[in-house]
Parts: sequence; structure tokens; C-alpha cells
Amino acid sequence: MSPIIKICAVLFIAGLLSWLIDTPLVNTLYKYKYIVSARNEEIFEGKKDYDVLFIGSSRTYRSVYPKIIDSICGTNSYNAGVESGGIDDFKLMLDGYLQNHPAPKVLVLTLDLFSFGKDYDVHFYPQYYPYINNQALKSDLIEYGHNMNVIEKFPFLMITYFDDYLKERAIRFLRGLDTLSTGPSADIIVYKGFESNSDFHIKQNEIVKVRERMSITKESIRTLNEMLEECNRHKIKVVFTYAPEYNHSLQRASTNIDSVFGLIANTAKKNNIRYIRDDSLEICKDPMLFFNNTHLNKQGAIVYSLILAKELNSILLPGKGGGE
Amino acid sequence: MAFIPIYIFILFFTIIIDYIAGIIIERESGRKRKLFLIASICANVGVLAIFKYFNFFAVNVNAIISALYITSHAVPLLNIILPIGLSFHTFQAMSYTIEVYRGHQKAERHFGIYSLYVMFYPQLVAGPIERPQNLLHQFKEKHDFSSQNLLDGLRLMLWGFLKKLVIADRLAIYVNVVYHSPKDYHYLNLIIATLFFTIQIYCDFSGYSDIAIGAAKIMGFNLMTNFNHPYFSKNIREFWERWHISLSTWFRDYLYISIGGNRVSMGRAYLNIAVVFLVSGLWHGANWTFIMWGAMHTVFILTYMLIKQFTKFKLPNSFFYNLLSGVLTFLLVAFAWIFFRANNIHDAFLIINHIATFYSKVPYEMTLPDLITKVEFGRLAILLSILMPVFMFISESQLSINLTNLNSKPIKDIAFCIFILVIIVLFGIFQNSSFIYFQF
Repeated sequence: MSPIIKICAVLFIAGLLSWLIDTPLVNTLYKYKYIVSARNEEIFEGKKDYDVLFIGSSRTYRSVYPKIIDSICGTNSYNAGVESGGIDDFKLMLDGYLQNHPAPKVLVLTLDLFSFGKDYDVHFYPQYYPYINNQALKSDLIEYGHNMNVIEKFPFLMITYFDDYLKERAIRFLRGLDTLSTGPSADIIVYKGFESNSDFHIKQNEIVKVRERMSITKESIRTLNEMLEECNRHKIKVVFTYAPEYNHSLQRASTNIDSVFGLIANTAKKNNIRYIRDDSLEICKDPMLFFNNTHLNKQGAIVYSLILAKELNSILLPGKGGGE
Repeated sequence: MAFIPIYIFILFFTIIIDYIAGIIIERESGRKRKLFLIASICANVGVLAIFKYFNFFAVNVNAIISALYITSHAVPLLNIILPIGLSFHTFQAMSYTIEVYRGHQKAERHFGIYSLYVMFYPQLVAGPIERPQNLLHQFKEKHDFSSQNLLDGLRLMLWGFLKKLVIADRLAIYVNVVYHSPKDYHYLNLIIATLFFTIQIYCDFSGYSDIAIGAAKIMGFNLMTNFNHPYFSKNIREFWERWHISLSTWFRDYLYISIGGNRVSMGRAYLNIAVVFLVSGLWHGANWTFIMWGAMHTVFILTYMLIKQFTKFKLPNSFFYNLLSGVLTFLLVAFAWIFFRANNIHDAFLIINHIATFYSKVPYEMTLPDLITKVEFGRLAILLSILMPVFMFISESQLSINLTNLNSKPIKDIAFCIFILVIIVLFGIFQNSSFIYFQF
């Protein structure tokens, strides 16, 4: 048999087998992570008109309960927080959202200490791959160095981006041994992008172990400015927030908080943006409201959403009594 | 360890020095030849000394100075990064001038061909460390496209990718977590991590060699064999004849023989072996852990040689005894890897102590959370970490080193390649991770 025929046979059969094996796994994996999928579907494929869009990291989607915001502010809001998301994700969510949806009136952007660097990059980019029909999303991903041509032509190769843990879950799910364990349950609330933690709470005096320097890259500052310019073009009012953390634990674990907060405060001042820092609220001293040092638990999210709704109300409806 | 564009000048510096030295060494005779050989070796070793060993030397000198309370005379550290593959291409360059000096190789007049010898991309960063006699003449020959070379090369590359992406990088997750903070783990976790590292380093390095040899083969070039199933060795001497062959033969040909080899008194010959292994340890990295690793192997090999020389003890040549000696050799090699992988000497001794004392103050857990990337090392990962090395070792025991014996069995060849390709796509770890030996 000629070597070329052998090579072609290997490529063809291996490709076919990979497609047959990997496609159901990939599909199951996206179902397994279905809360993320539902959020991404709404952002990148939906067309609904929302007044308020919340963008941030897990400290946003675990903390801001749109039902409470809407009930107090009379708005229709959506929580587009991204797990471990940084500024690149925030821009990607905004760009992707604006591709199909009407522009929101207000963008509430939660900027974390780790939003401006690449060091904290444990983020899971493949979550966006099924939505690359959204041209804004696709061009952002290409700009960030992702090879979208391969993913478009061979979608089953998305399997190469999943770790063993997710593959194991998918195999168990396909065998009927597992359920969609990250789906809605009695423990948590899932509502318009919001996914609460459970009622679990931390112990008092949780120890902060690691102290690290949060990086701020030039690219991330440029990305933030591009987002603000885009909001300006679409006449979107921007609000910066800083989500609650237990006893300033994230700040105590960082060596350069002044530079990060300084950057955010200066950008807010320069662009006439309201900056709401919620790290010194009374609730930040109550361990019963925190799932871990940096994330609220279910009860904490409800309490915080009430506080945030009142703060936002004064910005959204200045005529109705709040006032800035 | 990094690729920094400006560092390309280091490569050019050594290429120019060695190119000129080679021509002069061939032309001249007597003392002048030796002088140029020494100049060439000094230039190469000097580059290594500055970029790889200076800070190690400075830190240790400063520690001594500090202990003697003469703090005002501390040696300043250099703010430099080790260029990628430095130890490999400097050794390859040195082998050229030494061979020209010994009259085994003609000096290369074509500057482009000599540069290619040092910079040939498949083996530039992690070997095999080639000899001029094997490689230089190939650059002057015509290489027509050969579909057989393409198949042989691709198959070997595929095998290398399986070892690297499916086995080495998966085991690395477990090893990195445990070795990051060994004090927090049960002795069984430490044993598993050490055994995993033993397999990881083989798959990582021999995987790279397979990819390099395969890539060269596609273009029609034959690189030397670097690994010959080392974990099937029945004694430590055999292990060193099969592990990183291009480096161990380099040390044998250019260091061991140069300092007298075994043509001296018995005591001196043993000292020569010790020197070679200690230098080999230091070649791997400027750290006491690597020197200790070299020292461990010195002890192993000298013990083996002493037993062989002074006793009549000989194992019967049966399957059981071969297996027993193979397992014992594997365990000794694995034990020495503890020093190679540990973050520092303190950690290495802590690991040995915890294993020896069956440390169990922390509970044993088979699966692990990964502290660094937050990826859990779960049951699937454990299963693959056991099954895939077993598959690899069984396959390697039945296949020739370059897998070319598959050519005569087309169906088996196709099935084998399909299986590997599907496994790589399905279970490969595709996060950015470099080859371990790139740092050397």
C-alpha cells in the first residue's frame, strides 16, 4: 500500500471517528454548562430589549439578582457576568450584545482588582465558540488570537479545549450516571443570567493567604477606553461598581490596590461616570452572607441586590427622588 | 528559559567563533591548534557560564560571604534569562570543534552549512545533540521528496505527540500540584507523584525527540536515536546506555575519555565517572537539586560496578530475575528523579522523609484539585494516567525505535495511527505547556 494512501486513510478515518465520538461529547458539555450556555445564548443570539445590562466577573453574576433590581427600579435588566472574566471578556460581552440587541440605557460595569491583567487568566474562552455566528463576538475572538477558522470548519475539535473534569462529567451524563448538576436546584436561584451560590457561608476570620500584585496592562486600559467610546456612541450611560467582599479580603491579598482603584477612579472622573464602591458596606463584615471571601452566598446576593437597586435607582430615575 | 530575539546574537557569536576555529584548527598544527580549540571551548562554555551558571555561582558565593559577615563584598546578580536550548546548541557546536581537532571531521568551509548544523530547527532547542560526522554531510546531499519518509516521519511525530500531549502533560498536572507543596500530601500521593514524574519526564523528553527526529525524517534527514526504551533496562549502566543517548555519549566521548576514561588506575577511573555524572547533573540546571541527582546516579553506577567487579554475584538469566532487576532499576531511577523534580533540596529530603516514614497526618486522596489552574485531577484523569502509559510501554516493547517495522503490516499500521490520532484529539491536553528539556 502506498504511503500516501495510508496517510489519507488515517486522516479520513481518524477524522470521521473523532467527529462521531467528539460531537455528542461537545454537545453534552455545552448542555452540562447550561447556565453559562443560556446566558451566552441570550447575549449573543437573543434580541430582547433590556434597560440595564450588568457586566463583570463571577462577582457580578453571583451577586446581582435582576428580579430585585427590576422590582425596585422598574427596569428590565440582565446579568451578563462571566466566570473569571477580565476586561477582554467584558468588551466581548458588550460587543456581542450590541450586535443583535438594542442598546441598553445603562451599563453597570463591575471592575475587579484582577480585571486589568492577563495573569489571572483561568478563564474558559471556549464557552463562546458555539456563538461565533455573532460577527462582533467572532472578530473580538480573532483579535484575541483565537483560530476561529478551525473551529468553524471542524466544530468537534472544540473537545480539545475541555479538561478531563468536564469530559468525565460528559461521559457520565451520556451513560446516565450523572445529572446536570450545575443546573437549577433547590439550593440556588437562576434568573436572567444571575446564578446564586448556595446558602453555605464562610467561617469568621477566614484567613487570607496569598498576597500578589494585580497586573494592569496597557492593552486592558485601551480595551476599557474602547468600551467607553462604544457606550458613548450608543448613548449608553455607564456606571462602575466594585462588588462586596468579606472584610476587604481580596484587597488584603493584593499589593497594589491603590493603582487599580486609582485607575478606575480616574477613568470614572475623566468620563463623568458614577463609581459605586460597595466594599465597605455593613454586609461586608457578616460572614453569614458570604460563600467565600470574594463571593456572596444566596442570602448575601439578595441583601446586596436590594442595596444596589437603591443605589442604581438614584441614577436611573433621578427625577423620582433619589438624585445623585 | 525564554526565546528573546536579541539572544539570537549569542547563537551567531558561537557560530562565528566555532566556524573560524574549525578552519584554523584544521590548517594549523602543534600548539596553535590546541590554543584555538581551547579558545573555542572557552567561548562556548563562557556563554553557558554567564547565562546559565553565573547567578547560581553568585548566590552560593554570597551565602558563604554572608555566613562570614563580609556583606560589603557580595557578588551582584545578573538580570538575565536563560536563552532557550542554550545547553543543547553549545554542546553540538563544541562537538564540531573537538572532532575537527581530533581529525575525525573536516572543517566546514561553507558558512551557511555550518550555521545550519548548529541551528537545524528540529533539534535546535532540545536535541538530539548531533555529531558533525552524522549531520554535516547530510546537508550537502540532495534530498528528494519521499512519500515513505513522509509516512515514517509523520508516524513518529504522532507517537511523540501522544507521549507529550496525552501522557506527559496529563501526569504533569498531578505532579505539579503535589511537588508544589509536598508537605501537604500523604506519602502515597508523594509516591504516585514521583512515579508519575518518572513517566512524565520520559514521555516529555522522548516525545520531543520523536517529534524532532520525525520532522527531520520528513525532510529526508536522519537524526541519531536519543532514547532506546530506557525503562526496560535491567541495570543502571544499561539505563545510561539507553537514556538521552546523545548527551551521555557526548559526555563519554568528550569528557570521560578526555580526562582519562578507564585507561587509568581503578580509583581514578571511578573518580572520572563521578566527575561525568556530577557535570551531567549541573548541565541540566544551575541548582543543587540537579547536582544531587547527578550524585545519586554516581552512587548507583559505582555501586553497580563495584558489585560486578568484586563479587561473583550474577543474576540467572530468567524472566523472573530480568523482571526483578528491571523493576529495581526503574525504582532507583524514580528515586533519583525526586531530586530532579523537587523545587529545592529541602523539598527533596522532605519527600524522601515522608515516604520513608509513611507520613499520613494528612488524608490520602486519589483525586486532586489543581491549585494552579483550578482543574480537578479526577477519575478520568487517573484512569488515563494509568492506561495510556501501559499502552505506551506495551507498544514500545513490540515496536522498533523509529516504528518503521509497522511498514510491513499496513492494516496494523493504519489502525495504530488512527487510534493514536483519535486519542490525541479526544484526550490530549492542549493548554500551553512547554517541554521540560527546553529549560536546559
